[in-house]
Amino acid sequence: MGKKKKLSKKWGKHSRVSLRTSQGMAADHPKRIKRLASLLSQCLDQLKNETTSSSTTTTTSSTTTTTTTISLNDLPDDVLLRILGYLPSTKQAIQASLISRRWRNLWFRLPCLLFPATGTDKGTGYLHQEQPAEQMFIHRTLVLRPHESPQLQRFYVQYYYSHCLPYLQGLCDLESWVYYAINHGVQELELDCYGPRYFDFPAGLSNANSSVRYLKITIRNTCPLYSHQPIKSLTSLRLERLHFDDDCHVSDMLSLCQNLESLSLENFRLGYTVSVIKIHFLKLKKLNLGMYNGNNKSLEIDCPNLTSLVMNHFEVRGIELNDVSSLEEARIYFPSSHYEQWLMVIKSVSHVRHLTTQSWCFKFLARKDLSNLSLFESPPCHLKHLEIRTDYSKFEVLAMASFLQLLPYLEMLILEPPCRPKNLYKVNFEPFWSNLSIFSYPT
Amino acid sequence: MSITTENNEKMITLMSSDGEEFVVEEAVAAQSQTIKHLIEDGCSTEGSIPLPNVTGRVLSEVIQYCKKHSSSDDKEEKELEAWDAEFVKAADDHVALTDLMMAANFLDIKGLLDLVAQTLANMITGKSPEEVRRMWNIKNDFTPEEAEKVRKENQWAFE
Repeated sequence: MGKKKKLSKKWGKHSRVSLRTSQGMAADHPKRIKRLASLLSQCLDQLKNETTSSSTTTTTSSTTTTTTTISLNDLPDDVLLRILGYLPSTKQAIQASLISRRWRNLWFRLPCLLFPATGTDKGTGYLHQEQPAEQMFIHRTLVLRPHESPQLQRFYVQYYYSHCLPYLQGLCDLESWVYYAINHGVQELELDCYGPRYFDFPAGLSNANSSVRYLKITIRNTCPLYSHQPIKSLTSLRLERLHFDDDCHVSDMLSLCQNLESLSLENFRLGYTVSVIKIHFLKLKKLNLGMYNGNNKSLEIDCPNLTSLVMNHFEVRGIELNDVSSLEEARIYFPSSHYEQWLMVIKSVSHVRHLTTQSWCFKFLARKDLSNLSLFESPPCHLKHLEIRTDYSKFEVLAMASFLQLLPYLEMLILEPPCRPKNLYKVNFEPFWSNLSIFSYPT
Repeated sequence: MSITTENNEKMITLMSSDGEEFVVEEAVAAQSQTIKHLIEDGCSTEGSIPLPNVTGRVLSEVIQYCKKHSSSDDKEEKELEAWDAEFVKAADDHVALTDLMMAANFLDIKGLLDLVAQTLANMITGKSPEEVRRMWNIKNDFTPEEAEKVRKENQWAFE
């Protein structure tokens, strides 16, 4: 009440807007919020009256009209550069040089060079550069960009190897661009390529023998990737749609990047001679493994500092999680043919606090293993946050219910339908939830 | 003037170019690096901090942004993103956004700068230089010869 008085006093006297809200109050006292809201609306009315009256009395004041004349050109260069930096392609930043003299050479100072593809290839539906004009454009851009331009932060090329061009030329192009980028201190290098049957990644990471489509490499400082020396600068590596051939052992290649903190492998293919995918990193914190079908391969993970693990349909025969002791969050999805692997992973990550998985597994769990809790070396009782994708079949619901009994400290349970996140059922539990029976699910 | 409220949150007063005063929590105002430095230097805890480049209308928007971003923690990231999207939508026309950009730059609020820069970039995307000039009242100070030269220099970009 005291506050209310103070506020209205302030309003009356100085027409001052108090924009303070106390967070604690917002959470705890709906009544007070209501009161505050009504008070604020009063104040706003008051404010409207005052501003209309003041604008009639102070028409001479110039400040009221200054807002309408501001132009982009009034902004300092730094700010204009910031805007240009958010344009989706360098091409558009260069097009802006025709706006006025001031804009002419602005793009020289951009720390990002982005060359997304501009057309769609009819055969593949894949975006591609309209060759050779686009290719020339990239070359010219790199040539025109002066020496005193800032070091590059990000370099992105989406590149389609046209069949009209000699293959080697395309490769040389890409290599020369990567060379430019690395020479100019690029930190984030993103190459998205499609086309060649035989592809030597310019950095010599691998001899993958088919279409590399997406490869994002984050490099701190400059470092030649095309060496078999350890790549110390690299902390984040994302490989997608790579085809490793028989000679390339993915584990060896990865072992060159011992400073990785984040690794993502998706949609790749391995040669026949490779049987084990070893992921051994001391510093790795995030690991994302997705969309892989290699039922004659096995996976070994040994990452003592890993905090987040995602396995999304990463189908291998054997899985060994040797050291994942720091894990806090896991998202584990397998197809229903891989129950054994799912159980293997779930057991190894039973110490996490945040788990996302799907419910079909539980029905097997209920049948086979739940009666025998010793299967869990440590039951997942630390779990606080559980997300389950489920289609609410009868057995799954029963199985989930019995699984939930293992989780005394659960605070949040989110049930999501298998694909669409539309119907999100969210249940908030007090620690040591008690009343699961009130929770209803659609039939 | 500095007011201390019930829960000892220090309040400071900001004054816009058109003389409007705003009382905000110090934590809210300090999201502006400019104001933060002023406070740290002990300039203006007494009396109000004058912001000669920012009008009341723009300042109230800026404060709205700062308030939202000081009260929510990382957990609500998605909600915050949605709020940001609404926020720039509310300031829908490009002139208002340019004002906001100017203020964000003067006050040095990085999050707001990025947000508005992104929005302005989206507006520029796909527009011809002529359209951009018209939207923002920019004078074309190229002579025809110069324009032709620039066009030639970057001809690949204009195809």
